[in-house]
Amino acid sequence: MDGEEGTRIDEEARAQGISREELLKRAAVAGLAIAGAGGLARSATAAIDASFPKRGGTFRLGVPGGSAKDIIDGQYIVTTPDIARMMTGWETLVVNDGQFKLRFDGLAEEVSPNEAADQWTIRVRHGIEFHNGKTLGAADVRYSLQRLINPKVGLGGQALLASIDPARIKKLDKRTVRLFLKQPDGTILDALTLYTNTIVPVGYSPTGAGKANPNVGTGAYKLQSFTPGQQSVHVRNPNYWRSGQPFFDKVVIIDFPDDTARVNALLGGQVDAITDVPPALIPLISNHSGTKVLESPGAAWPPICMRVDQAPFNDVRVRQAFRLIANRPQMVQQAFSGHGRIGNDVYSPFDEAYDTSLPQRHQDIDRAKSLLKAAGQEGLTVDLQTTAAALGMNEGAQVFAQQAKAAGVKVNVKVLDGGTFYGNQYLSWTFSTDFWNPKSYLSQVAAGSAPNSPYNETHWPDSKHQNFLSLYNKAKKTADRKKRFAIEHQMQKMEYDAGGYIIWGFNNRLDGYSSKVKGLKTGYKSTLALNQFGNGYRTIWFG
Amino acid sequence: MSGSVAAPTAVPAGAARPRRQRPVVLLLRRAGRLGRTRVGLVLVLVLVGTAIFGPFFAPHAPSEFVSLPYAHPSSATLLGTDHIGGDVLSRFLWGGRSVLGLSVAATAIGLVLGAAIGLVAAYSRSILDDVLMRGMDVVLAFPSIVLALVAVATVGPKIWLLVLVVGLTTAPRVARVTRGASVEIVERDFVQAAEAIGESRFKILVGEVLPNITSTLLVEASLRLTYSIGLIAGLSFLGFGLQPPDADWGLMINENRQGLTIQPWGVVLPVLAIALLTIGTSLIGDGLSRAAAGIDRGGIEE
Repeated sequence: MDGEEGTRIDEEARAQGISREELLKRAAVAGLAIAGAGGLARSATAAIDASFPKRGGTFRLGVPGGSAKDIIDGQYIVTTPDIARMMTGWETLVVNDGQFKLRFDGLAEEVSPNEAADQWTIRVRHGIEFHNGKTLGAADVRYSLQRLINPKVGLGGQALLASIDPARIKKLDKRTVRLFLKQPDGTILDALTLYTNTIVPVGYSPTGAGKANPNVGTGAYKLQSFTPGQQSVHVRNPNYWRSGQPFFDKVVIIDFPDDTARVNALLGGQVDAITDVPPALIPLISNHSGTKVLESPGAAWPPICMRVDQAPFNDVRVRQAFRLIANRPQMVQQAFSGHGRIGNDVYSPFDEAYDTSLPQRHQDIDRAKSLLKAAGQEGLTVDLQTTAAALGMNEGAQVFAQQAKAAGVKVNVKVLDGGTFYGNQYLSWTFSTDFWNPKSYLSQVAAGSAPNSPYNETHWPDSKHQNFLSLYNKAKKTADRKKRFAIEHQMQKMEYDAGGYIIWGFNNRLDGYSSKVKGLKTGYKSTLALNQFGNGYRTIWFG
Repeated sequence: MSGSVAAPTAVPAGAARPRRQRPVVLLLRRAGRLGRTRVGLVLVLVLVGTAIFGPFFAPHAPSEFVSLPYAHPSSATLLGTDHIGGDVLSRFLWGGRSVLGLSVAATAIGLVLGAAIGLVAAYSRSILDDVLMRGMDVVLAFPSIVLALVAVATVGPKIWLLVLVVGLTTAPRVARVTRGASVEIVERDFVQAAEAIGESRFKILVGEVLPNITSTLLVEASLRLTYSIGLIAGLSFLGFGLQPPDADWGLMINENRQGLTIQPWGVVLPVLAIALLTIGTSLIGDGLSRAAAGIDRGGIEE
């Protein structure tokens, strides 16, 4: 039953072309959170709100997108609002903190590998209850992992948790399971931080929201009502396992497909917070008394993608030339209104494995020209396909096209509607834009840079870089972080030198909130909006 | 009804022609005396002038980045910047040519095609008349914007396609009017005389019938132009017209609408331009049609 419904949603999304929501979904499917990133060595800049947390109130959140396709499933999302709703009631075994340091601050008190990293033991905390009163135990963990990786259910956990053998998850005692992997995997712990890899009760199925299979999790709020495309109401879970939390009596999540309407709702006081503020509208919120903008360092990226297996980009010199054409600071200025930072053609900058020693690439029109000349591609004309699925896609394409003129390259920007862009030809465009949410390096490779990746726009690696894959497999098996990072650096160098992405910038996360909302932090390396939705709406309150 | 229609049938077509031109000249002269036509003319001239000559006065290139997105007006950017930091004034001055050019082209296609179909239908006096006109009714039954969207979604955003589709959706209306106007002309003696001396159908339609409906067509042309401007601008707004970084009024509205509350010029300017242009062509059309009605009623005195 689960299987049918999961696949159906997936097929529907495909049939209708992938819109922004679906895109977010697929990013999530492949691992949206930065799994596996240890904290960067930088010190926390979090400004702790001094006021004392208070109980009470109804927190109303405006989220972008949403449609009749909205769902609430503890382990699966289709549209953007689904993320905000999932965070109310479902929790992961381990979590990343605001500096992307892995913390045993989730449902598990222990997740540990054996020496070969081919067996992992998971023990959940004592005395945690689901919303229906059932106590969390080993059987729930086993069921949850099986549901996540079951291809018939189609939740897409396969990409990150592929090494888990669903038939060999052994219950050791009431709270402990042991996973016997198909092959050694040092990244299991990181994968378990992904916010969709949550724990649900045995037999969980979201459409069975009635008696037999209630739509419950372990999170701070219980689902009260839900109208897809409109809003959902969540009430405080009185038996929540963390003492004192949460603070709100109720959380209401409202869909606002229109950006301006969402901003106006915040300004007018109809909602207490909104996610995804367009950079252009920041002054409206910051100049308005009683509302503030929450800006967090970004790691989402709208790359320009060159297919490494198709002319003219099958010649590495053309790819290198195009990367040198990009004036990255200007792109960040014009496309993000300056709310972001420049990229260096390598993804996952939050990841501890990100190689900061690679020299920053700058615009070099002369070298770009000579590379194009050497490749016999002077005066090249190419079509750049793009769509307005995320901030920076159309804008970045437009700015790049302008910059390319200096190198004698004519870039024709083709703005397509989402249905066409993400339709049949998606992933076969020769030259296109796309967007990705932050992920750890290896998760990103699994999602978009390997031959069996679900969303490999660039068709990397090309024939000359096939050892990229053996490095990837080696890295996955290496449990020792230092050794693994060294391998990941080798992979990053290959992509830095010859990859098919132009990663020109990372946009900051921008949310808006009423100043009566307390507990939000600055400098939080957040993969999700509003500091991970107040860590599941439990670390924010009305002051 | 009019002098030209009553022209002696024996007179060769060549000799009759100069006199047949007169109603059009008369129509224009009469329409020019109406206040609405003059206002319309001024509006259209100003905007067409802006569209054609504007680029020569633009302070920046249309795709140049001059400042941060949605910057407020300053000395460097008189009307501020757009969604990506381009100069609003420069893009406005550059952006009229496409709207105007495409609309005129689309109207021309619609007019030629519609007039041809209408004339053939009226002249055929057979089943062909019904087939053609019911075919036109079928096309009319679809909202033109839907037809345009279907075509663009199937083939992709191509400029020629846009012009063609808008032209095609214009044609049925022109065809109906043309047929209506010519159906009684084709019964006239001079047409039958032309038939009797063995003139080709094409010659009869173009040489005998068409000159008698030019006034009607002129009125129709200005009304259809109004409609085409609206449709072309609408399709550009939806992203099916010119592609960025090219400047286009319809596209500008779409690009900058998010910043309307912050930096309104990027939206207000093209909106005003398109509105005034359509009002202008509409007023001219109205003036022409009133003048034509007057001619019909009062005959020709001048």
